[in-house]
Order: sequence, then structure tokens, then C-alpha cells
Amino acid sequence: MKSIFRRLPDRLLAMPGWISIAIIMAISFFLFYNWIPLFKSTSPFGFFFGTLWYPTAVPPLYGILPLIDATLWISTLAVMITFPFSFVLAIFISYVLPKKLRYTVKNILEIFSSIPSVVLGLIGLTIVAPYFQNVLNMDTGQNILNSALMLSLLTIPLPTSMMEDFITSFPVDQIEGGRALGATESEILFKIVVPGLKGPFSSIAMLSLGRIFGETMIVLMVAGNAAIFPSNIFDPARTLSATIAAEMGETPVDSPHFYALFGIGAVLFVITFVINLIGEIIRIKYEREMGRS
Amino acid sequence: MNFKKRILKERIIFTIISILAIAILISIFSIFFIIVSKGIRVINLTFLTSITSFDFKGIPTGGIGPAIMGTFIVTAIGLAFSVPIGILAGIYLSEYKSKGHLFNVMRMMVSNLAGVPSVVHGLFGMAVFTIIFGFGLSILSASMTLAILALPIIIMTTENAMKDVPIDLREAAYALGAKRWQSAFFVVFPVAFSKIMTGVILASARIAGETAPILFTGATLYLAHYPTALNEQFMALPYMIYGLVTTSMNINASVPFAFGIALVLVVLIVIMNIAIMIVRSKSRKSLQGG
Repeated sequence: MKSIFRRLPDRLLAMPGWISIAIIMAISFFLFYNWIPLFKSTSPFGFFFGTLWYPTAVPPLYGILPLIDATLWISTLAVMITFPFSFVLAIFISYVLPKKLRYTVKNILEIFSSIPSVVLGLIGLTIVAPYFQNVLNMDTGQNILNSALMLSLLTIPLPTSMMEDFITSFPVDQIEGGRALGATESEILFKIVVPGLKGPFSSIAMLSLGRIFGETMIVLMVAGNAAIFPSNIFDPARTLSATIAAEMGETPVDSPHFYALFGIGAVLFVITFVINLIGEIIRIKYEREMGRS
Repeated sequence: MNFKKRILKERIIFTIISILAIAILISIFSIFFIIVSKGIRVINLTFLTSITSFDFKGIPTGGIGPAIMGTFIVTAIGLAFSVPIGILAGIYLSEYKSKGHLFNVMRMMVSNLAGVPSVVHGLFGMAVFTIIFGFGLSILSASMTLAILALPIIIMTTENAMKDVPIDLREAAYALGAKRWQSAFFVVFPVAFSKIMTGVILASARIAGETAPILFTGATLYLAHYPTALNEQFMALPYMIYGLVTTSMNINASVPFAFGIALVLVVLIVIMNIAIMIVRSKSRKSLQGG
């Protein structure tokens, strides 16, 4: 009896610790719970590989392939912009900027990264889109390129500051070894530091991909909301996340359309979960290797 | 000759890097500049305090008082749910870590929870809080959804803050006969407190600006009065920006209004971030001094 009381505070403290596991499980449960009834009216094949998303047509068509395609276009392009630019910016901060400016620039980046995505959506919609349309003569300013640019701007600060941390805390003995062999700073950077940081950099890339993949407001406002297969980056598109946000508000509860939107949510959840898990595993593996050596 | 070539190559590489980096920094600054220069035109005291209304052409007039209030209330209630649970979970993760495999799973779940797209949080909040719990479209549903979103941020910063406290302090506490939870709460927690507060501010900045989770849990575009009860719908700053430029009757006339709201949000967030920086630099100094 006495031992139970002695262990009580520890046991109580463990309960909030479990809550994140419980929430993750509850999220996946409720997404699937509200998704499964869809298959009474639509086959799984028609859901995953259907090429038409017409939820209000008669009969309604719930094919999410165009949405997946658009999500892949936008997130691939956004990562292709985000990753190299974050890398360049991280090098600039750690190698070129004088030390006094370093903290200022990092702080400004940090503030920028917490600007709500809806504000960047506003700028993409009211400033960048008209510019694309009127000055650059694109068919529509609300397209894949515009949303990828806005997404990258939103994402860049986080990978930049993570990369910068890894670059500045790189083991000094290896850098000095390079210097002793007569390597220039850029040779040290690209032949010693970057190869040594492959692990963390790929985990950072996964993290940015996960963020971009699930980002909603920017693509909802800027990507043009057309559920078609885009053929180039100047086409409008509609992603998985934007579809949920645009349609859920007007959908009656417990209708097939409602179930289909939860299905999209489940797909989005599973994909981002896997992306984050891969990033996390790479990070843990790298930390272990560092710990051993 | 060879050496000169290498020096030249070095210069070229760093020049290109600098040009690209400065280009990004300029675009980031220009976004701040656009928001401030466009937003400042509409901001005055009536804009900040009075109730929103639309005239017959769909032009928004009045102010954003209810939306500011709504965002504050939802953020505050969200924090009231997430801060105690998040801090306790963070303390548990940092102070009781020597328990093997399950712990890595727990920590992985926390960072995975941080990576869940916000629109999925919205779906979850809708399924659980508005439908199953029966809270309906309300302040309560929205703030509980936002609480779940804030939770991993608070857990992770608490865990890191507690871990940064030197191990000697814990050992001193154990030597005096303190139990593990006593050392955690009475010795380590007070030292880590200011850093934990930065996590709380960070989380509130994050949830104040979120739109997707409140889309279908209780936010509304128009409310003729300040929020009065927890089971009512509410106006929120980020959702109002979205509504004004996508669904309002007269979009062109609504854009300046939307930029005014954007400026209010950005100013709020800058203030919060500056608070974080002050706390951080203070704790850095106190560590150096002691």
C-alpha cells in the first residue's frame, strides 16, 4: 500500500506523457472511421485511381488522382526551390555575414517563419498573381508556380536555421585538417562539410517536404482551385489539403462527399506521417553514428 | 597559376551564393514592407475596436474588433488546455527518460504530431469536438482543436528546456533525499521556467495565425457583435483575411481591409517574437553570470 503511494506522483506524471500517442491514435482512428463508409458507394479503386473529382455531379465522382497529381507538382516544385535556397542562405549566414549581423538575420528569419500562411496567401493572391497575369502574360496568375513560390518563402527560414546550426557546429578538427592540406574555404565546404552533413540535410529536406505537403491556406488561395491534371507549372491546380478546406464547410455531415473528404484527410495524414517518420529515422541514425565516433 | 585559378573559383562561388542569399533576404523584407505600407493606411482606432459591417455594395466598413477579440479568446482557451498538459508531458519526457524503447516511440509521436497538417487537425476537431462531443460550431470546439495543435510545440520546448538544466542540480536534490518528481518540480522546473515560457509564446503565435483548423470548427466570416458565450461561433483575424479576399461580395474593395488585418496579425507576432528573444537573452546572461 505504501509503495503505491510512493510511486503515485510518477504514475500521474506519466499520463500526460502518453497523451501525444493517444492523440495520434485518435486522429488516425477518426479519419478512417469517417472514411470507411464511403466504400459503400464508391470502390477503393475508383477513389484512389479515379481521374475525375466531381463531388457535386450526379452521380458524384470521387477520384482523387488529379488532386494527388497536383499536390506532387506543387510540393516537388516548392521543395526544389526551398532546399537549394535554404542551403545557399545557410552558407551565406555562416560564412559570409559578419558575426554581429548573424543573430539579427537569424532573428528576422525566425519572425518571418511565424507569419501566418494566410498572410502569404493574401500577398500571392493580390500582388503576385496580378503581376504574373498582366506583366508576364500568363493565362492565369493563380497557378502552380505562384503557390510553390509562396510556399517556399514560408518554408525557407526553418531549414535555413537548422542547416546553419549544423554547418557552424561541424567538428573543427576536420575543417582544420582540410586547411592543413591547403584547401580553400569553398573546397572545405563542398568536399568536407557538406558530405559530412548528408544525414541531417536529408532529414531537413524530409521535414520541409512534410510541411509543404500539408500546407493548406497558401495553395487554397493561390493555386487556382481547378481539379485538373496540370501539364506545366503555369497551370492552375488543386491539392489534397485545399480540397478539404474548400469543400468541407458546405458538406452535410455523413454524406458520401463528407466521407470522401475524410478519406482525403486520411491519405494526407498517412503520407505526411510517413515523410516525417523517414526524416526522424534518418536523424536518429545520424545522431547514433555521431555518438559512436 | 593553379592556385590563382582556385582562388578565383572560390571568389566566384561565394559571390554567387551571396547574390542568391541577398535576393531571398530582399524578398523577405519586401513582404514585411508590403504588409506595413498597405496595412498602415486603414489602421486607426475605429478599425481596431469597432464592429465590422458591409454596406450595400459589399464594401467592408467599421473595424475588426470582434475578430481581434475572437482570436484572443480562442488562443487563450487553447493555451489553457494545452499548457498544463504540454508542460507535464515535457517534464515526463525529459526527467524519466531512462526507460527504454517506449520512450523513443513517445518522442517520435510528439514530433509526428507536430508534423500533422493543420487541415487534418481541423477534420479531427470537427469529427470529435463538434460532432461526437456535441459542442457544435463554437469557440470551445475551435480552441480545443487549436490546443491539440499547440501541444507538441509546448512539449518539445519544455523537454529541451528541462534537458538544458545541468545534471548537478538534480544530483544535489537527490543527495538531499528528494524523489524524482520533487527534483523535477521544485529544482529543475524553476530553472527551466523562462525557456518553457518561450515555448508557450511560440505556440500562441502559431495558433493565433492558424486558419485551416478553425475553418470547420467554429469560425465565421460575419458576426454583428463581440463574442459573448463559449458555445457561439466567432470571428477570427486569419479567417477574416481569407474570407475577405475569396468569398466577399466586393473583393477589390476588401483587399485594403485584409491588409489592415494582416498588419495587425504581423505586429502581434513580431511582439511575441521579441518577447521570446528578450527572455532568451536574459536566460543566456543569467547562465553566464552564475
